Amino acid sequence: MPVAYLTTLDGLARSVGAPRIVRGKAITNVAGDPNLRPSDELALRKELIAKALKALTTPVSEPTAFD
Amino acid sequence: MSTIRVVHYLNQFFVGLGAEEHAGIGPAKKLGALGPGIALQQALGEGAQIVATVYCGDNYANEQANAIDAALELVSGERPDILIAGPAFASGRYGLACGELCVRAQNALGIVAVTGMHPNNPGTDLYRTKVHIARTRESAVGMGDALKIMARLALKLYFREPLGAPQEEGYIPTGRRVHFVAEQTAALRAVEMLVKKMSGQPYATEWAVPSYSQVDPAAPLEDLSHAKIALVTTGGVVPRGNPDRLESAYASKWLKYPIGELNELKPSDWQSIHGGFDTTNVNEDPDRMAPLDALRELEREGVFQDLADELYTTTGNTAAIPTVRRFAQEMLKELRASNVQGVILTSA
Repeated sequence: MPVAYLTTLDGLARSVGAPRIVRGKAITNVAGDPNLRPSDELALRKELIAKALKALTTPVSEPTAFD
Repeated sequence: MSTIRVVHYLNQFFVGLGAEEHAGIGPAKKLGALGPGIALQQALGEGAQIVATVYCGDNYANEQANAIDAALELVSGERPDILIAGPAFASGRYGLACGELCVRAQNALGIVAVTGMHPNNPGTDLYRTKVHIARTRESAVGMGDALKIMARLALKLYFREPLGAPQEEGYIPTGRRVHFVAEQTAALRAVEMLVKKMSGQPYATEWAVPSYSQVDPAAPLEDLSHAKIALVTTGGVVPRGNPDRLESAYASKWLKYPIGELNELKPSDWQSIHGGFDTTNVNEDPDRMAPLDALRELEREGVFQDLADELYTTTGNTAAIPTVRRFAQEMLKELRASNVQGVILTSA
């Protein structure tokens, strides 16, 4: 089953062989940003998840970062 | 001095009965050395004799609850001093049978037991701390070397001669720590290693970083718009108050919570108990770790069809690899049963 991994420790994810990696915003808020207005933060979160969903539909053969 | 009695254990293939079609045969015994046992006998020399070969089909050995007991009884009947099992190379079922039989022989019969496997054999992880495992190549092309190492290890253990380091003796590290006085300080050794590394010369680490088994990437989703997606997090997101007492580190379990009726994770109802980072930002808005609100909007927009009704959660920090591997297998089983086709996994 394809898994898209949203993490700020993307180098670590790569080194342990996670196939589909999306880099998160920060360690303490991987899918958000407390400095943004709530509507902008939700937009950021949707953008990250959209990347992750795209990763799920993309064939990969090795650890791959989706930006 | 009397001759040392050795029993050799093999699978159905190496005694010459056949391959997979004979993997279901039960434990049996033949007198003397068979197949690779001939070369093993040469490696052992004149002081030790293979008195019998015990064998069992790889499927039988792993499927039948009493298989290893029965094989052990056949071994025991020969009153051996040493059991040598395999080598199993990278063959998983064979390796598991060899490892288990050796451990039982050591414990129940009090005899020396040695086997041989490739480091990737699943039996290596399970048994390397319990039995000496000769490091072999992946397939039987490494038979000759493997038999020599196993014979040498077995005789050394039998005569209670001290074993050298794993790389010198050819066995897989057992995890035992042996103290010795190094000739140089750690600083000197480290700088020497660094210089060798930077100038491209071979060097040996003193503490190998654990290697993680590689996971083959799964095939992609063909049709996202009709896919059911699950949200999984190792960020320690739980209902506020942590009713099921998920650990903040060294997780012993994973949990799932219903989110089918929710459009977001409210801070009044949810929190992160993760012990590996400052959870203040996540506890202000748990969607920052488990992004339910964004997933709901994308679901509504039809980007994907359906979000699974449960949030799957655990804590990832300082997790033991075998434990979290089990978590993944257990989650996968449930996700498949719920017709989930893809996973969004989040962590710190």
